[in-house]
Amino acid sequence: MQSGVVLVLGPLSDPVTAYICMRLISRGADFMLVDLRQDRRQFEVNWSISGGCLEGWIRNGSRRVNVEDVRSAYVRQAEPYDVILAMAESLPIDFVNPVSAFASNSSKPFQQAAIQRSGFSVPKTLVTNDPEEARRFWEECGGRVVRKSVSDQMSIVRGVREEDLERLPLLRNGPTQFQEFVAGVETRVHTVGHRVFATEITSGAMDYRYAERERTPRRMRAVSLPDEIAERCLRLSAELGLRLAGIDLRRDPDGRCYCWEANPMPGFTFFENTSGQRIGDAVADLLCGDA
Amino acid sequence: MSRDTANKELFIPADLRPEARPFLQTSAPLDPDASHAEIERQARQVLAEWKRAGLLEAGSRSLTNPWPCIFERSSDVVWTAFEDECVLLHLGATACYSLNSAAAEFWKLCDGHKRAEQVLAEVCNVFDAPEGVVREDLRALLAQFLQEGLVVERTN
Repeated sequence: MQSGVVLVLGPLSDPVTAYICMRLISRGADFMLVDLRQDRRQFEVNWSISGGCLEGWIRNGSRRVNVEDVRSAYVRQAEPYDVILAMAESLPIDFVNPVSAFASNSSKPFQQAAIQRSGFSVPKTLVTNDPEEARRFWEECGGRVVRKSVSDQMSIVRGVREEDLERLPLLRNGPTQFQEFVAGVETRVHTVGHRVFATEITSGAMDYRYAERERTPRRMRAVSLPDEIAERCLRLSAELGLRLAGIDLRRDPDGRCYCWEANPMPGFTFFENTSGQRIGDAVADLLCGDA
Repeated sequence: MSRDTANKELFIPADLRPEARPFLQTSAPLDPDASHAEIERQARQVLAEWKRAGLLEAGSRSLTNPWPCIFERSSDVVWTAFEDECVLLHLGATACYSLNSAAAEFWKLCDGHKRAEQVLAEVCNVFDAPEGVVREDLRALLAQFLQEGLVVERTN
């Protein structure tokens, strides 16, 4: 384990942040957890540029850490940590993940272009607030269309049924993403540095994360990916600047591999808990310089 | 969602737009001077509550029919055979496992080529035990191997 302090930015009430802390504690790592639900007066950040170098410190409670002693940072939540993130972004540290890399999740067209460059197929996609365009797309796809949030706001994926078309005028209140439905085997891939963890999900639900809402069982198990697919995942993560990514894949019956998106802040504990994969340990390795 | 659309009805109905992090307001903030022991105590509590809330479904991993599948030893595991037993070290988890002779035999056969049903037949031959008993033992062992990340299922 390399020396230096690991910054953990997130609320301890979040299971992923809690789990990362436990993995760091188990290996005796020196870390500073900044849980900004606390009284903000207990937290201070101070930095300046001197001779082209960043100098400064972060104080949390009674502990103060100089920026040159920070070796890595794990960010679970961008807000309200903006002031630290703005500083940390310019430090030569292992950043999981840089704030600039989060931005790709807010721009679906940007991310889809990166996905295609990485060698994955992208399902036919339309982002629109025009009801007529949405209807045309639905008809073109033979009614096999799903709808999703266009921003980084979470939404439960559902098919667009014929009766949903009556609601299309509501698109005027905000654009929505429509994608052609692709049947196939679903895999969530977590890339952590150069490591790849693949979890295959079997579920009758349109959105396996919410299978219980559809009273449908869900099975998740660790699988190994063909080398070529694993390499594409690593390429995509690298292109998006993500040291940790949750990549959603689906392999259609013809063997074509589609990629839906790369999540820059994946809740990997959900997968680790059921598949037994040691994703949290891999993240801790990365943060401690042991990867 | 932009601020100007916040109060308008959207095409994706509200019940399909869950709050991303409802946990943020659910517990008291951490004392910034909390010791690692205190952080660990609270972290364990958070994870236990999360499990209780049903966000985890341990049962979903049940292996109903592993027999047509091919399993291989995880590349994260280094291992050595000692007499008829095996010792495994999971490098990612820094965890060590000791396998008795039957489990060791099964472990050696998880080579990424044989289907679980072939492995089952070979283990039955080696140990001269009733197939039904070995089948249930191997199913349990495989579930444990998967849980611990010692083996992975090979995809085509």
